Amino acid sequence: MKSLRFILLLGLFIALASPALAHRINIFALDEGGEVYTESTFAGKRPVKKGVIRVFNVEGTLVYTGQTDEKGICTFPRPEPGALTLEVDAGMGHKNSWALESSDPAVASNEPVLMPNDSAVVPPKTASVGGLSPADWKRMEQVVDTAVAKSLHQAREETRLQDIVGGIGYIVGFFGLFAWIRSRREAV
Amino acid sequence: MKRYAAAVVLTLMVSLPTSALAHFGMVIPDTSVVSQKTGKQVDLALSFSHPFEGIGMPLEKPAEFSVVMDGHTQDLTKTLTPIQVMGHSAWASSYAVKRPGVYHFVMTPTPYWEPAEDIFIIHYTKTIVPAYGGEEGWDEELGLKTEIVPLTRPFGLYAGNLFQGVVKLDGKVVPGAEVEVEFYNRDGKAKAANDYLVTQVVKADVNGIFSFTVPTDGWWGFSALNEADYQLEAEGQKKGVELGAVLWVEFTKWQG
Repeated sequence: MKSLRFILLLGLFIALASPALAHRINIFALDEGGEVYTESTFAGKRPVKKGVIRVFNVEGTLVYTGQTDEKGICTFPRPEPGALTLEVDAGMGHKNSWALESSDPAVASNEPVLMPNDSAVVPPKTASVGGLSPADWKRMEQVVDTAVAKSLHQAREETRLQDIVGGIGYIVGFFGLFAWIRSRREAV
Repeated sequence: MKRYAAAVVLTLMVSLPTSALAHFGMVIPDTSVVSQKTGKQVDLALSFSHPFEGIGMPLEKPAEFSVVMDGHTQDLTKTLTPIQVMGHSAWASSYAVKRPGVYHFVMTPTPYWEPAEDIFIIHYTKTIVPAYGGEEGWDEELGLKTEIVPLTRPFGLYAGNLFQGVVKLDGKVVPGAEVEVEFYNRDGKAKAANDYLVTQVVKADVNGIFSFTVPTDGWWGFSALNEADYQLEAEGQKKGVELGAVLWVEFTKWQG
């Protein structure tokens, strides 16, 4: 009888908790010169008060634990320079996360190689080394991927033929550039 | 000669209805929602067009282009660079969204003289983009000369959702305001069996509230039209001014 009551109570708790799941939880983070600023809200409005902030590195190791204040804000010195995952946990299954880029600019090159709307073709940094190392190939793949993504994106946006042709032009151009570098190296 | 005149009149009669197509100020961002996935940069295209027909008109450099977030206005007029939309002069802007919130992008164009309709057109045009999960402020009234204040949250919408808004002119609701609704037929795939299907029309109720359900996914423009209480000069004469309150909203296809 006691266990039945327990189950009923548990059921009631679960039922009560469910409506709260509709409250979308949100975390936003910013690295301001080594100081990490986080802001957590419910549905982008009400602050998450006394929510737990957990920070994981790329290996998944917990590197920091903190708590949000009355305004949903939690700031702390960056625990390590690598990429981090910041998680806010307000209990009852209310969780969300924010991916914070590495603070090391060499690692944090998530920016596309070709900036949108930038018609100037900038040769990748590795090209100046000359020759095609495996890293170069990887770089070239990235460049081509970006150019393809760019042309596809624009094709979808405006369906303008010249954009597609332009995108292909970038690809051909980069192949030419790499071929030239390789031929120059072979000549030496 | 008489026959010639008849031909001219006939041609005019046929061509005139075409020029009476609905004009729309357009502010279209490359994403209707900013997240970590989309990246912080929002690229916007400002134009003046017949969005369903894909017919553009030249847009002079807008008098003002700005972004409003949480009551703070940032002037972006200086960021405008000339581009082409639908084969006519248009403007591009780019804005890096750094914080969560709801961003209202607003264009105030210079008056456009439309000789075919013997009227000036000024479309106060806006679109509302949320960022990084922010949701507060989408129903904010910006205090424009005329504007549509949304009653339905203007993002995260499915095709088939009912959309509602209030038409305001000089800060007051406009009972019975006429609202034109048009689809941005970007790829030209949508076809209209007749002219009535290009621009749809709904009227606001006594409280200035209009309701409309769009049939398919994509960007839809809502344009509430009112006659200004002032006139501007063209061809040496005083001419009427059409004030449009335009709002662009993206509806997403239901998945599943």
